[in-house]
Amino acid sequence: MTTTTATSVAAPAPDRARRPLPVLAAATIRSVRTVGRIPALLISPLGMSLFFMLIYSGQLAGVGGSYLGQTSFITFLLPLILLTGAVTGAATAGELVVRDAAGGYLDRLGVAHGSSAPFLIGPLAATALVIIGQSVLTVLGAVALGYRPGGVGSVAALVGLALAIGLGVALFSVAIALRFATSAAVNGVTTLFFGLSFFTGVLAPADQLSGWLRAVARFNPVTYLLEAMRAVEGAATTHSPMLATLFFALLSAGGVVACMLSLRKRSALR
Amino acid sequence: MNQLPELAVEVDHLAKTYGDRSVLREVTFEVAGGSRTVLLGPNGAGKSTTLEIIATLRRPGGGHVRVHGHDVVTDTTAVRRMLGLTPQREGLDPLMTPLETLVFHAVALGLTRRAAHRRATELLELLRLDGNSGTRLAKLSGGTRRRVDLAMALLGHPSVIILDEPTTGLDPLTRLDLWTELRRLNETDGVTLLISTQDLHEADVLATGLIVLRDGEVVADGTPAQLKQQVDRSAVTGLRLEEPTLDDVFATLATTPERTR
Repeated sequence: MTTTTATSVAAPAPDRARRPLPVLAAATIRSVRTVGRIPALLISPLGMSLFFMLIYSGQLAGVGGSYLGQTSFITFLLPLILLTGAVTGAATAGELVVRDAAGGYLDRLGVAHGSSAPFLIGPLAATALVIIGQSVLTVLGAVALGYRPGGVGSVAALVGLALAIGLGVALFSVAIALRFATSAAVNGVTTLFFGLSFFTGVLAPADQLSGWLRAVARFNPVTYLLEAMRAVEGAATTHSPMLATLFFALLSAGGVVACMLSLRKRSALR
Repeated sequence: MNQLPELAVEVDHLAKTYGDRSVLREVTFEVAGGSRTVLLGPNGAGKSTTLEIIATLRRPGGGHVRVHGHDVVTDTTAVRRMLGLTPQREGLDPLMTPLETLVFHAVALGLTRRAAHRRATELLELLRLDGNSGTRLAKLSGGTRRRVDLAMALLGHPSVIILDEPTTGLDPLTRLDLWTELRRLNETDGVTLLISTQDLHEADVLATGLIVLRDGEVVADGTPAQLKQQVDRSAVTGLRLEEPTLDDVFATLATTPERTR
């Protein structure tokens, strides 16, 4: 090129420090705001949870009393409803990341900040709030249907376990969103975990199942996560704290590894 | 006033392949500080890939790229602090308003929330977006969204702005408006502009320097006047009736194998 004038920057650039926490807070606030602007992300999982809880308890509360002993059917059912609600709500994180990744906005934010991490953790944090909110509302719905919690502690434990499962699934949905950047792929993660949750003791204790379903439930990790939730109110029949802890850890670690692999693949494709 | 090296961008034997397909081959050019340099070429010439490598969005397969002396691979952070980018695809969130978009981006750049708000407000006024600052981007016109794009690129006081086909899809009046704004930024604020386009009129209006790419190679560079002089109009039209235009330059360089470098 021929022109060789010295460049002067008209306005001095402000001193910019790459502080992760303010960026993470801003990313979380933005994700929460986005969820508020797409009500379906909030309403669908909650609506589905309340619908299934209403139908199952309405049809089987009387029958369930015959094989559940001292435990009420709604107390037995609630953990499953919370688990499936958390799995469905977990897709929120993936959907939020898809919106940014598909249009190139995520790359732009990554270039601005120097790392994409806050813009992935922000949607996860917003998803955690979504799961907590919908779980609390689901518990309130269960109370209306006759559920009597053992105390605030047991409700907090149920919501906490639902959150742990939801965040694990959310990590997988973010990983898939990064890799494929489509809602269809993200929904695939929810469908997989949602499907697995029905190959457990859904309406009856797992140890009272028979035939092939009993065998599948025995090897299904979700059975042990669900039983851990049921154990909070003493409704578990096959609870294994060690296996439950192992599967909780594997779900979280697997999600983190999947995200890292997706980021690495995304970087390698550049 | 910060004094930066005279050369804003140096691209040295840049190469890039996707699988077996070579998209850039030994691309070499320089962009002078304070210039408005236009990368011109047909679809698939390698313009966007070149700009994305300079903007640190892609990694070079070979060669070197430096922005004000900083290597895009080994000194990415320094390069990113000097660059503003408006990508070819509108990289925006349609659910956000211009004000939210700019404040969020400024915080991502490392500004405090208060400083981010101040800078966003400044730019909304500068680019005459203040009337739409609270309207969601999805409800704004393509031209207004492009202005938001430009405002995002300006947030960090960059010395170099990369614009990948900035006026594609805009109506003629909005294009004129954006060109005026780009010229003002360059002439008043001294910002170096590196612009890719397929629009010859845009190149003619904006460029102080032109680089013509074809099939991943630089086939010509110089000022618009120099390139026009180098083209034999009779080779294109069969008649020499008037002065060559950039259309002639483009038609010649995009179709004939000779280089004019």
